[in-house]
This record gives sequence, structure tokens and C-alpha cells, in this order.
Amino acid sequence: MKMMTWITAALLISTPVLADAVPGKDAPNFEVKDASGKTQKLSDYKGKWVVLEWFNKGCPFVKKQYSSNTMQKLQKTYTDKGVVWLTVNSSAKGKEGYVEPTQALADAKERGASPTAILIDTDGKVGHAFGAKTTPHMFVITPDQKVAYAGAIDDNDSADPKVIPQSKNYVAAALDSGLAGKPIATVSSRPYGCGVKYQ
Amino acid sequence: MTCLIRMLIFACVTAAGPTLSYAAEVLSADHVKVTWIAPNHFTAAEETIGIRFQIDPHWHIYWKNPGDSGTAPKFNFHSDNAALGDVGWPMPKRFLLGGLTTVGYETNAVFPVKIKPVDSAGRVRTTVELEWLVCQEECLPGAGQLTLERPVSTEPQVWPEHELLLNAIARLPSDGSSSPWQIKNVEKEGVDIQFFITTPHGEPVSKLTIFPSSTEVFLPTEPTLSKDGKALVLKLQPGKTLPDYVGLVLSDGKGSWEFPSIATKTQDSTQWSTYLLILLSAFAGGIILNLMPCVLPVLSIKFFSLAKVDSHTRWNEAMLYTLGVLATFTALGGLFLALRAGGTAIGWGFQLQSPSIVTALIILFWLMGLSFLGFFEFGNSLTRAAGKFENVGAFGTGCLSVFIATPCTGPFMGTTLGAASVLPAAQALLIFFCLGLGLALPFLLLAFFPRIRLPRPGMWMITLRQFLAFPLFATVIWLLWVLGSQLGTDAWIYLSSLALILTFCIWLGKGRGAVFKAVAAFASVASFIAVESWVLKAPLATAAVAQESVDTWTDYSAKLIDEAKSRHQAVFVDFTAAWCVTCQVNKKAVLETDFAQDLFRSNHVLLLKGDWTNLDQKITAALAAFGRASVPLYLFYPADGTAPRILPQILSRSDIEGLFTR
Repeated sequence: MKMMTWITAALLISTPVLADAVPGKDAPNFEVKDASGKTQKLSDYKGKWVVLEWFNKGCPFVKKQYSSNTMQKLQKTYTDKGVVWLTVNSSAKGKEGYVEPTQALADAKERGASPTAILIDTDGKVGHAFGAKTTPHMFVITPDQKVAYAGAIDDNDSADPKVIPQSKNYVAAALDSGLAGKPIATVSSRPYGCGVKYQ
Repeated sequence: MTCLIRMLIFACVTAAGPTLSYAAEVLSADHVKVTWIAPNHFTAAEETIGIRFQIDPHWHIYWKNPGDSGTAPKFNFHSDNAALGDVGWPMPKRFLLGGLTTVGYETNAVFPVKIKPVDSAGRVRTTVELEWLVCQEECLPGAGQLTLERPVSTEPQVWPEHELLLNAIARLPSDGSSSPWQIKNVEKEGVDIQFFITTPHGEPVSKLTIFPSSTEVFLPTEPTLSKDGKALVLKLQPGKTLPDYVGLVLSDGKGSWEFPSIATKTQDSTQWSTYLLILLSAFAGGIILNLMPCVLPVLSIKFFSLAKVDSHTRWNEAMLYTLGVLATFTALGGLFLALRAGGTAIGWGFQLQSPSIVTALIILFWLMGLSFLGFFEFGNSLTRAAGKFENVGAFGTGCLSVFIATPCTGPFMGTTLGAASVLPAAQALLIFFCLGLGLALPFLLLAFFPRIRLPRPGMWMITLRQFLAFPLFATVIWLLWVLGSQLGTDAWIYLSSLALILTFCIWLGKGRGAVFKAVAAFASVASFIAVESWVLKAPLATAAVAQESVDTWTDYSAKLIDEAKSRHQAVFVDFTAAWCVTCQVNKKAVLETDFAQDLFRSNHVLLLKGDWTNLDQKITAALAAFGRASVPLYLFYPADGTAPRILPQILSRSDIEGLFTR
């Protein structure tokens, strides 16, 4: 609750909330309910690679990734390899992309999405802790809970799904290198997309 | 899904084909209507037209750096019968939404673009493929194609909505070099990057704002004021380090100026050791100027003529010569600084950017060459009239040697002159003064050490004098080539004919009666005036250096560099000018050798050439961004997108090789 007041205060004075998730630094921990009502903590996943995906079903840039089946394929490929995939919805109540937890699960099923969990971050706590600005804004976390990648999903900021085959997917590249024990070439990029619909 | 459908609809609309209908000149989409702002017909001249986005209230589209979220609109032009420039981005504004800052436009956004019908085009047809994102809190992408088809004629034009376009053009950022607000230096304090800004009349910097043009480096939030109130502060993106060069747009609410590449590691100009080093290199540069082929003949004759005279006259002569050099250097330097302060984007060597001055120099060198060969005595009658030839001559030689030496910007001088253009006037003038001292050094030595024995005068001096005519003729060839690249091949004919007429007139007037002399004098003056007036009127040839160059080089544009960067392609930029000797030597000896070209080709390097033969604001600004006010300047942008590397002014093969082996 104290944290809530703090965040509200921060928003009221409308200073930009600085992102805490900086590549090479420790990832901010969080504690939040997922769509099935279970409490999710980042620290529960120590020892595993974790992906955080900021999501808003109304956002054209999210649709670009889902209508082309790109995001679903990424989720399937990497969760099969033991990666934890957390889809985060930080849309506030009444804002674009807000859905009730049960609806969120039903939607995911319909999309053919297979994240490990969908985090319901209605108060924007997780979003602000990570400094998530856009949907989709992507973070890759190492098994020792450091930020390995922060930024856009790929290098083409068009909303047109046609450009995906020619785009370089930064998340896939980071995970491939990371899982193979190699250094990650691109550790950050400018996230593109719709703004996260915080309160 | 909806977005796919929307794109399909646009595709259908545009596929319907534009004939004479204006239908395809409008794109209507959710919350946005896109139209052209263009005249009812074009003339043969270059024109600026606009692409107008009419945006619903509370919705906005984005600037080239959209900020925390969003995407800049994309423009892709096609035309077979017109050349189109880059889209201009008028000064944007910031939007705050839910703690995020974005940068863009609302209500009416007009993007100006230059268009010029190709020669003899009767009609102009151009299309632009557009992609944009319009947001309120939600965002909607849009895409489509606009077509513009207009006849070309000389009738008076009708411009609907012209006011809107003129407004947008007025809000385009000007070149940073013309800004009354200059960024003096950049200091880093943690994640705070302070931009210290000089103001023309000591106004507070608080009325200014900065829009960073690099999407990756800075947070898009409104800059804050530093504690002492002298700097604007931008914050680095989390986890970012400050690159060596950053780009930004500075605005005072009325005007805006673009600084495409600000060095963040600026040296403190007030530091004495640095300044002293600059003065020393200026001095050394001045000494080296003595050896330049265009200066050497004039100087050696003067030098050896001093052998003839007694030590008292020698002192006088040498001092007068020095005075001539210093006065001219300081005057030229002062003019250079004054013009720059007045907002004219010029650089050193600007004297040779004027074809009429080049013409005068060609004739001067030609006559001097003839005189050296003994064909006639240069200024002999003038001498007798003045009675004081020796003094006037020494001072005049001093002035002359500065004038002809300045284009030979040799080693040391590039950085020196660059520094002169950013330092306060007094300090800058001292740099020019040191250059002058260096140039005058041989004569000063003569004056101060009367015991220096020069070889005895004799027949050898006449032989030497005759021999030195040939470097002068060589200089004539070089200057003819400079003029040729400025004005086209006609310049050769005009100037050679003028030289022929003048030579004939001298022969005609020599040792003949007064009538002959008068005719000869009249004919010389008349033909000289005739040619100079042609030179003044002749249109400047464009892309002068590029034309005669191997076509592997493309004209410099900052956009091409950005595009190459996004493709992960390396870029080599050659800032050059026809009148710059060092540039030509580097070109022949290194850049255009098979060795270098093979290296460039095998590493897929994009080769760009910035031609500064004629005055070009864009190039001047690009040079200024690297603290230079002269050519040559060689830049290499590595393929990995890291900061550009500056190469030495005198290139060697190993410099080029080193770019790819590291």
C-alpha cells in the first residue's frame, strides 16, 4: 500500500518515472497476481531465463506480432526450452486493453498464446518498476536475475505485419545467444509501439 | 485484423489509378486526412510542396524521434519526371500522457519536400507511399499512396492552402551554424548531460528547448535547467553511455536550428595549454605555407632580391613584407569571422569559392609568369611614377603571398582554422596572426640576422627567375581547372582567350608609340572587364567535383548516412573542393587507387562526397559539426554503428587499410 501511494505521488507530480531495468544490472523484483489468481514473484524463477512481454490487445503493434503468429511461435519455441515467459498487462481499469483476469485467459487461449503466466498489473506497479513504456516492450532476464535485454521486439517499427520476415528479432537473438552461453550482441534498443495505458 | 483491412482498402483506392482526377490526391483514414499542398502546375524551377495531415482534435502523429512510444511517419517517393528531396520535419511539440513523453504534431501537420521537374518534362507525376501512426491514447496505424499529377508551364501559379505550407517551411529547423544560440560545450554529470549554450545578448537559456534527434540516446522529456542556469540538461536513456557525437534540434519558440552532430568531448577552449598548442600549430602551418608551389616562386624572388641590398634596406624590406603578411592575414581573418558572426555559412578558402576572384588570380599568375620570363617588366612604369617601388613592393608581396597561399590549407591548418571559428574573436584573430608570423618567418630571420649571407647576385638570379615562371604557369593550369569545375568548360575558352589577348596587347604596346600603347591598354582593360562580367553572370556548375570523379561516389547527405547505419553499412565521407590541393593529392594518391577502391568495395562501404567547391551551407554545417571550417575532412562511420572516426588530413594507404583490419 505504501508503494501504491508512492507511485501515485510520482505520477501526480508527473515527473517521468525512470526505468529501473537497465541491461547488465539486477532486474527489479515484483510480486503480482496472475490471471489465474496465483502470486507471481520474479525471484521464484531464479536459475531460469525469463522473458517479460508488455501486452495490450488493442494496440496495433501487439496485433502486428500476434496476427502474424510471431509472438505465439516465440512463446512456444522458448517455453519448450525451459524459458519462463510472462505476459504483462499494465492497462489501467477503463483504459484500452484492460481485461478481467478470466477474460485474459480466454483471450490467450483463442490467440493460441502459450505464456507461462499472464500478470495482471492494473496498478502499473510492475510496469513502472521496469520502466515499461510501450506495448510490446520486451525484457529478457538471466538465470541470476540480471537484465540481459531491454527494448523493442525487433528492428522495424512499422505496424505492418508484412515487414516481419525482413526484421531482426532482438528477443530471439538474445535468448539464442544466452541459452548457448554466448554474449548477447544487442542488449538494448528503443522500444516502439503504443504507450502503456497506465492510470 | 482491422489494420489489415484498412491497408487493403488503401491499396484498392490507390490501385484505381490516377489519370486526370484529383481523387488519389486525398487519403482519408481514421482520424487523419492526408492531402498535398501543391500548385495547380509546376514551373521548370525547384518548388517546395507539402504533404498535409489533417488530424482530429486530441489525436497526434509523430516527429522523426517519436519519444517514449509511437512511430514517425514514413515517406517513400517515386517519380520518373521529377527529382524529390528529403522530407522536412517542422518543429514539433511534446505530448504528455500517462507519464510518457512523445514528440509530434496535432491538428495540421505539413511536411515540406523539394521537387524539381526534370528538364523538358511536360507533366510531373509523383507518388508517395505513406505509413503513419495516429494516437490519442490508443493508436491507429495507417498506410496508403498519394499521387500528384500536374502540368509544367510558365503561367502564373495558383496555390491552394499555400499559407499552411509557408508556415511549415518557416518552422523547419535552419542550419545550426546560422543559429544565434550556439552550443559551447557538453558536460556529463551522471545521467545528466548539460548543454552549455551561448546567447547573443545574454538572454536566459530557460526560454529554449531541445529535441534530441537520436532516438536511442536521450529521454524525450523536456530538458531541465542546470543549477547555475547556464545549461539545458537532457537525461540519458537508462543504461546508455554518451556517444562521441549527438544530434539535436534547438528551439527558442520562434525559430529552430538543427545541430546534426555535436561533439560531446569538446575540449575546454579556455585551457591555456590547448590554446597554446593551437597557436603553435598555426605558426608551423604558416611556415609550411612557404613551400607551397603557388607561394614559393613569388617568395623566392623577393627573398633573393634582398640579397642585392644593404642591411638597412634589407631590414626595412623584410619588416614591410612581414607587415603586409600580417595585415592581410588579420584582415582576411577578421572578414572571415565577421561573415560567420553575421550568419553567412562560409569556411576558410572562401576566397576561392568566388569565380571572379579565381579569374583575377589566373590573370595575375599568367602575367607574373610572363614577367618572370622577361617578356615584360611587371609594374615598371608604376614604379617610376611612385618612386618608392621597393617599399610598396615589399608590402604588396606580403599581401599577395597571403592571398595565394590561403587555398593551400596544408597539414596542421585544418584543426587550427576550425578552432579559430569557434573561439572568441580576439583569440581567433591571434591564431590568424600566428599563421602570418609563420609565413613571414624566413623574412623575419633575414631582418633580425643581418649576418645571414645570401649568395652573391649574378646571372644565376635571372636564370632562377626564368625557371620559377614555370611553377607559376602550373598554378595557372590548376586555377583554370578550379574555374572550369565552378563554371563548366566554357571557362577554359574565355580565360585562355583573355590570356591570349592580354599577351598580344603587351607585345603590341612594347616599345611602340603612344597610340599603340593606348590601344593596347584599352583592349586589355576592355577584354578583362568583358570576361569578368561573363564570370559574374555565369551560373555555377553543380556537383562540380563529383562530375569528373569516378561514379562510385554519391553526393553527401546526412539521410544517406542514417540509412546506411540502419542497414549496418559502413560509410566513408570525403569533404573536398576543386581548389583544395591537399584534397586532390589525397584523391589521386590514395582514395581513387585500385587499392583503396578494392578495400571499399569488398567491405561494402558507401562512399559519399561532400563538394565544397562552391559555397554550400549544408557542407559548411556538416564541417562545423566536426569543429572544422576547411577541407579536407575524411570521416569513416563503421558498420557497427559506433561513432564516426576522423582520418588525418594527409591520407596514406595504411590509414584506409587500418579502417578494416582493426
